[in-house]
Amino acid sequence: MIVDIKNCVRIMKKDWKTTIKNKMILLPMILLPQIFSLVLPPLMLIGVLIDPEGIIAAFGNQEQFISLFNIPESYNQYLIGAEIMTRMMILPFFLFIPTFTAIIIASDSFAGEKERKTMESVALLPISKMELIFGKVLTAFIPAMVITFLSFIFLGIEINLMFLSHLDGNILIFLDPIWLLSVFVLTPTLSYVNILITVIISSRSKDFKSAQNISGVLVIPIITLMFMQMFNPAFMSPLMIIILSAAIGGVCLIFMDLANKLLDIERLILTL
Amino acid sequence: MEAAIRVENLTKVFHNKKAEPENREIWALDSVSFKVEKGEIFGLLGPNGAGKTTCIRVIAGILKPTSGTAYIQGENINQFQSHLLRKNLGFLTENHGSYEALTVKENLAFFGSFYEIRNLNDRIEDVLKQMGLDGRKEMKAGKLSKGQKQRLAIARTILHEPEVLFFDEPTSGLDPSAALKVRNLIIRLKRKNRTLFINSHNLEEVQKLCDRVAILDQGKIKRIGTPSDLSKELWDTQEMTCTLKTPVSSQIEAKLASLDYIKHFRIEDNKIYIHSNDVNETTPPIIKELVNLGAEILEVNRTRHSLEDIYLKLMKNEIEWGK
Ligand SMILES: Nc1ncnc2c1ncn2[C@@H]1O[C@H](COP(=O)(O)OP(=O)(O)O)[C@@H](O)[C@H]1O
Ligand SMILES: [Mg+2]
Repeated sequence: MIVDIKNCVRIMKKDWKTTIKNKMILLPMILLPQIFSLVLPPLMLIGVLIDPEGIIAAFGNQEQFISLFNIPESYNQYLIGAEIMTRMMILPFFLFIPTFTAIIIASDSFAGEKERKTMESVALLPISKMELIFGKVLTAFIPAMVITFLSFIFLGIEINLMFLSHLDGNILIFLDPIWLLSVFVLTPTLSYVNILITVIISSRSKDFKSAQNISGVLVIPIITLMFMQMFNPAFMSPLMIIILSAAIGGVCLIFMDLANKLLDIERLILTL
Repeated sequence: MEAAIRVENLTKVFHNKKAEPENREIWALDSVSFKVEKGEIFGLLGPNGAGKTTCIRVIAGILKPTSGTAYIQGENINQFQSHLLRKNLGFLTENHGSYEALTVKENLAFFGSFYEIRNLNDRIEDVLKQMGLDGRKEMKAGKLSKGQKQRLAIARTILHEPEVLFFDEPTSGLDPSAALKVRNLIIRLKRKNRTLFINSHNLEEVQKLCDRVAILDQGKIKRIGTPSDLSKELWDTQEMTCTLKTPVSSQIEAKLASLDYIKHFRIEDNKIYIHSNDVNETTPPIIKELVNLGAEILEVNRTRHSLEDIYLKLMKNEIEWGK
């Protein structure tokens, strides 16, 4: 099936103008990532600055972590403590940001058209179902990615500033392959599949609120990932991230076709 | 030449799961067939719930028919990708369907962007002028009055200059002068050889505008033809009305009942409605009889039947006649 990407972009731009203006959507979308990327991390890292040995000991054996996490030899106690803390406590939370943003925006995709009584106008556009779905996915995907990438940059700057006097020419997070793969490979695929599912849920819900409630279930796999990383620090290896992303990518391909079947325009118009 | 729209045995059944078992199936369209020629104004007339909206939604490909099919400019809606067919369709929905958070201009720019319009901005200006909205360009659609919203929706429908246009209740909710403007627009579109399909429950409007009319009731087409054909077909007999100065006496009533050239008659206070096969032949003797019985005649009229009479006759149970 040929998808004219221009049609998808037109839908996306219109959605940004109508949906994202909505304070119910915009506020949580901007505030929550700030909490995860700017407010929580310093609170978690402050202990490392005060007593690095104590914090490291609380997590386990320092030598084990150094080999497990491939921690550079040039790292001092403070940086080793920061590395362990960010990897185990901050990275898992960070995976929440795109999913959260995506669910908020994607919940509105079709339920919003229904609530605004514009669904029939949209159905009458000379575009295919696939173009409509893909346009709705882009509407949520791009802001979710922008917010995630910005949060990553802010978080990195913040952490490096916190440990500025201990850096000795090292840089935290920004050069760490686990962080880079998580933010730029795992997060996009995870968000994409979540958005796709939420868009379909939205097309079958009676309004934005109930779409959001049902889509909330999608955070369960993310929480699972989060705990796996917290309790088993070795879980998130570069190889694991790539395998996970590839598996999720495969799910996306199957879902794209399923989404096309599940999007029932007739039902959307008739249940106005 | 290929008809602009050809509908063949189109049937649409809705399933209402919450209703009583015997009412679960709603036959919104029940084997409907008709043709609309290119350049014609076709009216689909019927009371609320007759199936008019369902009919054009199925033709435009946003509802799937239960059975039967339709062809738009020769393309079968069941076989052709419906979104490609829609490139050449205009569709005015019952609900205005614009984005209230966007301005008038943003709305048109969005909807217009999906069609190949050479100079969209100029075209938007042009259409806004035609619809008398050029002063409201930067206004949020949500701030417009009901009539202005309807005009914005019409602007959207004609923006890409489609060959075939569907108008669902185009003048409902408009004041008389706004309704007149819409009717004039429809006539201008016809002059450009566009095909127009109008859903309406407004008889007067359909009679004034349409070249042909189909009367739809409970999903079935009751009659189809030009407004004047329909009048002739339905009223094979002709009617005269005679108004007396005083209420009609029983003596007169008895006399009328005895005249065999009167097909039937009805008395309402001091008015007599008489049907016969040829009013020209029967009016003089009837008047003579009435005068002989001492009736004081104020007025004698021949009734011209409008589409409304036909419509009412079809929709309601027929009026009780005295013979
Ligand atoms: N979503 C629906 N579910 C069940 N029945 C419906 C639905 N939409 C319309 N109908 C029924 O279909 C019939 C035709 O409706 P409609 O096409 O809207 O009529 P009209 O436009 O002539 O007023 C009505 O009896 C209506 O109740
Ligand atoms: Mg209707």
